[in-house]
Amino acid sequence: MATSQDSKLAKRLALLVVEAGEQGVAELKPALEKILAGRSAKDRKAFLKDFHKAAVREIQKETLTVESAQSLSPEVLSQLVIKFSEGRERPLQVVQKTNPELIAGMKVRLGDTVYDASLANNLQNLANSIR
Amino acid sequence: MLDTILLLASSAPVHESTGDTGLLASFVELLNNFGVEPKLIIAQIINFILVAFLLWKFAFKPVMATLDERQRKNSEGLQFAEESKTQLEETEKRQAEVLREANTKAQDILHEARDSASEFEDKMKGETATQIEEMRKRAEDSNELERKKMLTEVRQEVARLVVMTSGKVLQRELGNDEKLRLDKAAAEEISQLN
Repeated sequence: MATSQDSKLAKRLALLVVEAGEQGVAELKPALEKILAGRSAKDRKAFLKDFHKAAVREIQKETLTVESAQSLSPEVLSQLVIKFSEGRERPLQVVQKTNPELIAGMKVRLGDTVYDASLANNLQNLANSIR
Repeated sequence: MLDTILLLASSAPVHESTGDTGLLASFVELLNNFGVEPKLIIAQIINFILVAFLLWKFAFKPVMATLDERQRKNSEGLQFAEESKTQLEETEKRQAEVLREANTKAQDILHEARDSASEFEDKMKGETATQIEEMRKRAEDSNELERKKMLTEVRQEVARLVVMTSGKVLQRELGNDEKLRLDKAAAEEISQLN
């Protein structure tokens, strides 16, 4: 079972890999082999699990997911990217998804934060206020 | 007998010159005529006294003693009966008194029991009324809770249906221009939130 030190090491490694980008991915394999050498299979599995979670979290922090009922116009999309890129050193990766159930408007996710300005969400809030 | 003696005296001849001695002799003669012997008389007197003494000694005295004993026993019996009567009267008096006291105590106990029963009845009535009131209140609360729950469920269901229907209608009825306008408004809203 991974200790708290292993969890911290996995998080730091994931952060370094994401920040380094392509170069980080290239250097990841020898670094992992060095870290995992001499560990049991169970500890390796636990460490890799922590690393995966941390890497996904770090990638999500750098990824702007925009979900809308229909394809957004480049104008609207660039407005959102500019707004969310403010104060960041590295450019955001933008992922666009289409979900007709939103009816209109959009839902934006960056890291753990979700902004929902869809018409479906507004209707749901209205329904919740009636209860 | 005196009449006979007087008759004989009157028929006998008078001896004027003899005096008292003559009278005694006449009397003795008269007794002899009747066959009375002084010796026999004395002997009979002695016999009589002897018989009387013996009777007194061996018959009359024991009989009297027996009679006295019986009399004493009768007196004692009467006294005992009197004492028994007195004791019986006292016992009856005491019994009557005890009965009166017992009756009084029984009356007191009966009154106390009635009072206690009345108090208990009042208390039970009060408790029963309180319990009924609590049960009624609980039932009312339960009904109210159930009603509110039902209303909430109805509201939720209505809201869900309204939202679902509205969503479907909007999906069908909204044009591209309106959707673009809503997209822009949403982007503005999210930009302001960030």
